[in-house]
Amino acid sequence: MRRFANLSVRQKIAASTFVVIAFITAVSWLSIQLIVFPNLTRQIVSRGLTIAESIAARAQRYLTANDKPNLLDVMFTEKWMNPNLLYIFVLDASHRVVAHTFLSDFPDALIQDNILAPGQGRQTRLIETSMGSVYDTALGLYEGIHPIATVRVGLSKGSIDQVIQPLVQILLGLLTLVITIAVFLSTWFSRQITDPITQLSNLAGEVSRGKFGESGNLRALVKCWKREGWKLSACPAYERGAPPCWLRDDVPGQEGGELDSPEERPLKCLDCQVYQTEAGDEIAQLGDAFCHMLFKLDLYQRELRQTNEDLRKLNRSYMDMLSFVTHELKTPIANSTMSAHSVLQRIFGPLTPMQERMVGLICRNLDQSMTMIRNYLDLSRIEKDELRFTPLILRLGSEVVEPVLAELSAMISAHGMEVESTVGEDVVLEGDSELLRVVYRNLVGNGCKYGRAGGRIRLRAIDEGDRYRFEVWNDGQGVAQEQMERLFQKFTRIAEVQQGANKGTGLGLFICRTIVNRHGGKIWAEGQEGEWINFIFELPKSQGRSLVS
Amino acid sequence: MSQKRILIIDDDPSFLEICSAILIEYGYAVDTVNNTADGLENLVSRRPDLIILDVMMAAMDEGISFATSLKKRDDTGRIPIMIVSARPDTEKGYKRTIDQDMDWLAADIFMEKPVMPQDLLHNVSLLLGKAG
Repeated sequence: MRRFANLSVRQKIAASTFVVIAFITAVSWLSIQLIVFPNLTRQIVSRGLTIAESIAARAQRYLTANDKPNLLDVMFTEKWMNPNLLYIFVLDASHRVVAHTFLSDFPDALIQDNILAPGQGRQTRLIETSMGSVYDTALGLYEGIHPIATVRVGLSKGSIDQVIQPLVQILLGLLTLVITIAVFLSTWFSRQITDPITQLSNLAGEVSRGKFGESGNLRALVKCWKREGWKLSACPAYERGAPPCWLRDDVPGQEGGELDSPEERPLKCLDCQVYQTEAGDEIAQLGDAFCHMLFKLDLYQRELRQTNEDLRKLNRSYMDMLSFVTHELKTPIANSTMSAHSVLQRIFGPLTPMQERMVGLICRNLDQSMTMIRNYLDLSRIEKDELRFTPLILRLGSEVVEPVLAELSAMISAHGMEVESTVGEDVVLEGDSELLRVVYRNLVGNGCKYGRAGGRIRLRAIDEGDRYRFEVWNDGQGVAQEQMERLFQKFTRIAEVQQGANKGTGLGLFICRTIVNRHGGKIWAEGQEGEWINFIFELPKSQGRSLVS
Repeated sequence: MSQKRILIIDDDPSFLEICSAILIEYGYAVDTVNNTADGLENLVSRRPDLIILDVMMAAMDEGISFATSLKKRDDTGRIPIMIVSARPDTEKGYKRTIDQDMDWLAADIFMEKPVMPQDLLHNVSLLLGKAG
């Protein structure tokens, strides 16, 4: 049964048809065997008996009366009148042949084939003789209880075959005809079902493979399809390269919603002259429903695409604005930073302790604003996909780590941090030094901001064959294990970490991850809450070009 | 040792003011102009020992093309140039280190704003020492 279920519809229809034909054949054959054949046999037996009885009276008189009638005349007359009658013969009480219709010598063996038991009146047996199969009827004649004679009549079984044979021939002929018609019908019928379904399933396959809207034929089918037999074909306008009819103003009902309303008159394409809702049987209705579904999908998809495009434009304009604003902010803040630091460094004369404290505060706030501006600028470049990635062979120690530590030296000393770096001159890789400086600036900056005041920041580089593993470790509050992954999401701020520390933009680690990913590496954090946190990132040594240092 | 003269070219008046104040405080003679045309005039008339130059002024890379043209001239080719830009390397429009680009990028030192006073003074004395 499972094997049957696995067959294709066409095979199932063929198999069912075959089974039905086989069943009809078997029923016909059985009815011949069980009804026609026994009836014919009964008729022959009864005929044999009738003949035997018609002979019997004259045979009795022939054996008993003095004026013997002409027995042979009667017997031959019967034989002539019945073409199936092979023989008639009469035996006396001692089984001697009294009369027979054989033209040649009487075959003596025939006597033994059907002998009546004492007292038995009649008996018919099917016997095999040199003349073929014969229904031999024996009729006993008695005088009182004494047997005086037996009349034997042999009717050919061939007479039945003569009836059966044309019957079987007719049956076989009919069967051949039925089979031919059935094969033709089942093929036609199965094609009626399978062809459109195959086509629909191919279309569905295209849609499922995401080709929806790309295949011209499919797009054309969505709104305007023509049925030739079971072949669905596109609107000729589309095939000519003209805009598909449903996109043009001259086609009624180009908004697909109208297709749903049964009150509306059928929509007709001016190009194909085909009504779009002329569903016939269930399969045609399925095709219609499918095409309407595709049309709706296409409509929604175009709407979605449009919305998406609008949103992208909106997002881009926001990002442009963000970029513009931060750029504009950067100049005055950079100038303020420069002048505040020059005052703090006593370039213009000594400061009172309170003045120094206040100017120091201004500097720290300006530094923080500067970091935020840098982060927002980086974010806008990432979001606008304008983050330039230009990998060059670089020495990480001297080109990235040292400049960042120098840049952050004021911040590091302000927090009383001790920085240990084991990133040596031998660390050479292909990367974008400016972007990697952003990564280190953010990670070391975080170490200062969120680490324990007076604590340690440890920078390490570990050679791992085709890649380096870099670590930026600091002792301090750290972050709960379940928060680790959230750290790298945009605008994430972990409340516990923020306590007592200056608020950041929540962008630094997101930018780090973007940059590390752009290098083909990965970044993550490990740590023990309340004790330490370690930011680890791995970078490939080469960006696919040969590394020459 | 005679007083060294520095020319600052930037279209941002605040930067000109702060920068010149710091440098004057450290004993340098400072001229400030807000465009490259006036800068060129100043170069001819005042013969500065160092130029501090912004990248973006009226045009996107006005500073860089100005520096390049100066380096090609016999009379100004030897004057050291310090470029100060509000934009980081990634946005400069080119992406090579200064060492690699000395042949075409005419800057001797590149600094990104905000410029820390001690870094400014360090680089100025470095360039003047080298030139001197």
